[in-house]
Amino acid sequence: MEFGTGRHASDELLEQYSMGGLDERTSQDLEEHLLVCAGCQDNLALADAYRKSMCRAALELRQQTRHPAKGWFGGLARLPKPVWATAALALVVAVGIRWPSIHGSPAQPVVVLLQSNRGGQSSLNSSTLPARPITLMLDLTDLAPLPQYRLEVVDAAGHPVFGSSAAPRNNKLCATIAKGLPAGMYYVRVYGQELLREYALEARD
Amino acid sequence: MMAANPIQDSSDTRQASSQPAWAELVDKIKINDTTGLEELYRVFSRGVRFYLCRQLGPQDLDDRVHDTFLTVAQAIQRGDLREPERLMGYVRTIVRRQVAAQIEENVHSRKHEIDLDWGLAVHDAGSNPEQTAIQSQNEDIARKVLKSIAPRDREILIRFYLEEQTAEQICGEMGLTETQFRLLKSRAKARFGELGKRQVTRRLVPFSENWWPPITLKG
Repeated sequence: MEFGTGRHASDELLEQYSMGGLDERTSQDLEEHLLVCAGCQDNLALADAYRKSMCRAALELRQQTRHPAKGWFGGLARLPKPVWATAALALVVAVGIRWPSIHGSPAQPVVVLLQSNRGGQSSLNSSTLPARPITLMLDLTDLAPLPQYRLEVVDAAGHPVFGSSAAPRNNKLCATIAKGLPAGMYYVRVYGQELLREYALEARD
Repeated sequence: MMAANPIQDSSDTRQASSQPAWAELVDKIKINDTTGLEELYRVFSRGVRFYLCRQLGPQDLDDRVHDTFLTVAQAIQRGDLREPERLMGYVRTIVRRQVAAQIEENVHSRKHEIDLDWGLAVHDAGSNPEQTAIQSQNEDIARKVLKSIAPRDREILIRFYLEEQTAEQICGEMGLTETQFRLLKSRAKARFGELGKRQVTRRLVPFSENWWPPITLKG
């Protein structure tokens, strides 16, 4: 297929390319044309955006058809997943921070959710109070599933201050440090056969 | 997939391409003539950016584009390009190799390297807030389009866009002609454009340069 000057790929062809439905030869010709044709680049970008939007909307409608939610809880269930995730995280943090002050129980562990970060800034996953039990809840997303993981907490100098082994539940690994941690910088490491991930944690006064 | 009309007359007033004489361009690059290198960049920079961005995302895009041009220019100067008329195909091959190498590197990193600062140094592959807002808006529009059509038509579009069934399969199972199928798709797309007031989305394209010609969403 040749694309002469002043000619553009049809919407149909771009849609097929966007969906990965073209044969190798046609793909090759179209990709060469796309290298030098701004109009077709724009149209392909639109085709990509349209296809993705339709795909996501279709998925949502398909799920609603298969699992119709009713009533007030149904309305909640229709909220997008990120909203749930944010709400759940907020709840965990709120419980971790406020629970002792509500109940006046100094023994209640502080729950710290450790998640992998995005971005290049050095950042702290969470902060907590020293000398109180701490329950670490580690997000294991993207790690190879194993029946058990080893957990190690080291201080800023690399000296181990806590170690434990635990089985994951719901892609989370939980461990409670009964004595808490003195103020300072720590690194929480997850091991399988080898080191898999490291999180930063700061305990503040 | 059904046979599609592969090319169409340009209703888009922009030129499909402003292509120089490839042999002349290659000769200039061979002798390291700066006008040749400028011409190479002018002709291919947007397309290379577009391809790399579409395949690998906006991360390190400028560096990748630069690497691509360096590779192409050096290869031409070494005499690796035997048929100057095949320059477009040659550039495509180099860009595809760049993409393949990057993907291989990513896989290797995940398999064999442990970064102690994993949580601190990972690249952010997510959309920026503006892109996220536009995508969300587009999804709302798509949802409205799908809800506004008859259940049978909706089923057809869901089969095509979500389940990626072929047009032949859908037409066979749903008792449609090829024309009816195409008409349904184009009407849905037109409705999508109408609801989006044609704001849909040049801004979605992170490879964009400063200048954007006016575009219209085709139905």
